[in-house]
Amino acid sequence: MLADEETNQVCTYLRERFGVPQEEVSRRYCLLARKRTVWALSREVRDPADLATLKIVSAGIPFLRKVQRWWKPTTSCLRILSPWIRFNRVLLSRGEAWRLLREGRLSLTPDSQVSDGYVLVETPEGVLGCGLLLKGTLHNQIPKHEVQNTLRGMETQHSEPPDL
Amino acid sequence: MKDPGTSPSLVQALDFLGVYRDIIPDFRGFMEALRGEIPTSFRVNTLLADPDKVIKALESQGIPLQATPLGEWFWLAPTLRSPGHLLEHLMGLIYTQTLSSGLPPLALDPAPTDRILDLCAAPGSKTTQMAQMMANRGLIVANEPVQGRHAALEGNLRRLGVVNTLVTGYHGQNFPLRWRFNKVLVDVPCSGEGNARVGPWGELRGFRPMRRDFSRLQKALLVRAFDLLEEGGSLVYSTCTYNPRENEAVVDHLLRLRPAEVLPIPLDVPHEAGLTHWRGETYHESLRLAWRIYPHSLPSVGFFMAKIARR
Ligand SMILES: C[S@@+](CC[C@H](N)C(=O)[O-])C[C@H]1O[C@@H](n2cnc3c(N)ncnc32)[C@H](O)[C@@H]1O
Repeated sequence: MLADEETNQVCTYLRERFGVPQEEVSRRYCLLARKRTVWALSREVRDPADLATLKIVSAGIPFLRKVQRWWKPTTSCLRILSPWIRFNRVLLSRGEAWRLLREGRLSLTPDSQVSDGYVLVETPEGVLGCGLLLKGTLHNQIPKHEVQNTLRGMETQHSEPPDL
Repeated sequence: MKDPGTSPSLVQALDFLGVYRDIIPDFRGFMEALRGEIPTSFRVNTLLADPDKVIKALESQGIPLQATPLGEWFWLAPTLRSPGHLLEHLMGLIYTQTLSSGLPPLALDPAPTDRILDLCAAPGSKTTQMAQMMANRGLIVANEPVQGRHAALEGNLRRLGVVNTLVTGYHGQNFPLRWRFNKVLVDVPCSGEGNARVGPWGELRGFRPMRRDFSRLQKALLVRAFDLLEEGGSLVYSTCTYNPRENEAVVDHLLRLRPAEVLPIPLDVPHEAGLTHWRGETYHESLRLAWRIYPHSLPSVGFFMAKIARR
């Protein structure tokens, strides 16, 4: 389990950066620390004390990582918190989303709702994942192997290619 | 192209599956249904997606979709070759899954208050489906002893936003008895015959016959799964094979050893009843309540499942 102080830091970060109400995180998730990663497990897991008696490989999903002194949300974190994220959301068309995935970056027109730092990247259908906005350029933060799996063979896919 | 009727490789496919001629109704229709690829299907992940939106988005990309008897989460996409390359897949909005594979969780019927063990879990098709049925609440312990398969399992949990699951790495037959669960899914390693297809020359495809006898491990897994159940709890045993020695015989073994009862499966999906005898062996009468799934009645892979209660 994460110490109260660190849980507080995580909740404060998510509130300040994304507008997620503090109680949504602490009420829903039990936060666990492993190395520089914080994992989120549903609070509803009954009898968490029992967990100690099983050899656990992993519990829940990676939520945030500590990068130097900073918190970095994972793509999964932004996906599950999406209903409560009020700002620093970047909406892309499907074509823009494909371009971001293929090229790793995308220039954006300035938007007053979004400031430099980690952002939630979405399309009208759902959340793509985490991006890093720096001086008008959006950098993809979705794990590379996942993106490569999607891109590989895309050219032969019946339903794409993307409208670039 | 050679006439498949005289091709020696057709004999090979028939040779192999022909042993089931007497238990598979309309055997000719069965062999016919095995031609070509396994029909592509997927599940909409309601933990992250609004099903209507996703279906509209896929249809607007020109992908023809068909509803299935498994309800509004499961769709057939007959012309789609690999859904893994769709944006919707990357975003965790859909999960590629055969219709047969969707049945054991539906039969187990997980609820948000359940504590569930998925004894043979990787790559997590059924774990993630159960998490979805539980609305990410309750608890699932997803057990998988093969370390090399943890990445796929954890990757799917992450992609689909599953937060009610712990991953463990025990050999299922030795899963510690300290814990009890009210539901257990036992989707055992098996010979995989249900994945067999017939190629253009009648050759066997998508499946390599093995000499290995899985039934000892399957029996040990099922007995341990039963012992891990709370009184009044239930489990589902499933395989993707036609072989009665890996199916009815394994359940019959449990019924002889433990106070177990085979339950009816209240789903409305085309299936055949389980067998009560095969090649000189007799199985418990209640095995009629088990389900055999054949690709000529459900466009998917061959499957077996039995729902069992602890009395
Ligand atoms: C049929 S697959 C399970 C598929 C999975 N339930 C799903 O829906 O994605 C069987 C799994 O059992 C695992 N397995 C092999 N030996 C096992 C054992 N002794 N105990 C538990 N699982 C085992 C295999 O590595 C494999 O991942």
